[in-house]
Amino acid sequence: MKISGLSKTIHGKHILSDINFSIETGSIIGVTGRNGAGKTTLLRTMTGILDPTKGDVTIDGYSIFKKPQTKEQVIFVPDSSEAFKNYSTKEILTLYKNIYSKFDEEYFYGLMDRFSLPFVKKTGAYSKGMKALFSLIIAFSTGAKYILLDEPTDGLDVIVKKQVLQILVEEVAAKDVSIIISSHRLDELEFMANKIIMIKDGKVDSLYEIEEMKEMYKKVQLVFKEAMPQNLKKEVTILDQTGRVYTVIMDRNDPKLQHMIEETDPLLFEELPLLLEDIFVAKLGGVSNVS
Amino acid sequence: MFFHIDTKSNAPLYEQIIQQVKEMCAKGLLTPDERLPSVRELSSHMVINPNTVSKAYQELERQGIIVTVRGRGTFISKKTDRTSDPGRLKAIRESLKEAVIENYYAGYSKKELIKLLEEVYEEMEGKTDEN
Repeated sequence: MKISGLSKTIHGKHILSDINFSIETGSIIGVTGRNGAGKTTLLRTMTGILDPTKGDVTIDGYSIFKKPQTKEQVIFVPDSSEAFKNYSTKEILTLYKNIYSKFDEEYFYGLMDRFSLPFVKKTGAYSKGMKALFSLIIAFSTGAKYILLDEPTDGLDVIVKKQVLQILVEEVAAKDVSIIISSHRLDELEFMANKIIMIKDGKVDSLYEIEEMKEMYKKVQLVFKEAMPQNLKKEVTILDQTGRVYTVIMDRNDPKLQHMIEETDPLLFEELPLLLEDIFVAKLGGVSNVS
Repeated sequence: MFFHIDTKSNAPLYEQIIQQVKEMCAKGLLTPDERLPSVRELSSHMVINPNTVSKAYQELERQGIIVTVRGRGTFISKKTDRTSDPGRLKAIRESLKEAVIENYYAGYSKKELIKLLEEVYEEMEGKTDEN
């Protein structure tokens, strides 16, 4: 799947501008960003629910906007769906069977059984956790190769959340599907995703392979005799400062910077474990306003 | 078998898995010919990316610690399968060096470190014998 030059303008407002990335099969990709950064719009445009103002989304070279059959390989699971609440489990099953020609009914019943989900007359009767599981079961039964999930664990209790994440991982392991998850739960993405895309103001701010990220940056705690020297402030990203104690993110492979810090003769210069959350704050934080 | 994610560690997750398998082998919690969980099982159990588990298993296989039998699964190698690897010896030397430095600054002598090493050996071997 390839996203090229994707832009979306709604009511004269640029929601997405020039988004480019590609998705290999068998990968889990985390899409993250501040509230209102454009994550949901990106997912909705990638599945063809919204038409892009510019750019294209292609699968094996075919545009999903020009060749609608291609959409059979994609499914989008929104964070909450009210549209189907008056339909029965069976009716929804029939609906999806008709849309997705590769729908695996046996697999569907297998998963329903595994998670002890009852068949109901109105799916609106499902609890929040059941709804989340049900949408995932449907999504994984469609035979789609690209599964896009918007906040799949939002509002779930820890047990259902673990179940949800486990099916995700198992699907990728067993069927070589690709999963694109938009989430704020960086702690969940940290070990599940192999790639992280950070969206800021409708643009791809950064794209990391998780393992690469830990090779590129390190988080350190620094304590100086006095304040941090001005010239050093330009070279590192300060995550936190309490008095003379600084927590900073710095380039891991910069011997010059390393030397520069040692020259200031800090009282403490110690590496701390780097979390995805730290990179998020360093890249997207700064101003503490909510957009 | 007990696999876990150490969030306080700076080591990449696949290296943590490698380390945990090795440790369980050394302690006798995993014995030769014992079946390891499949990539799917372990990634589901730990809720991590399956590619991370694959990467760890590939490296463990390269080091001769595990063997994959097509269609049957992944197993711990027989002890005789352990091969000497000069590259790994170098890495061990490096970590020993770190331990020696740590030991020095912690105010302990060479003798005390050697005694500690022997104790660690005894601890590991003791547990192996019990199994």
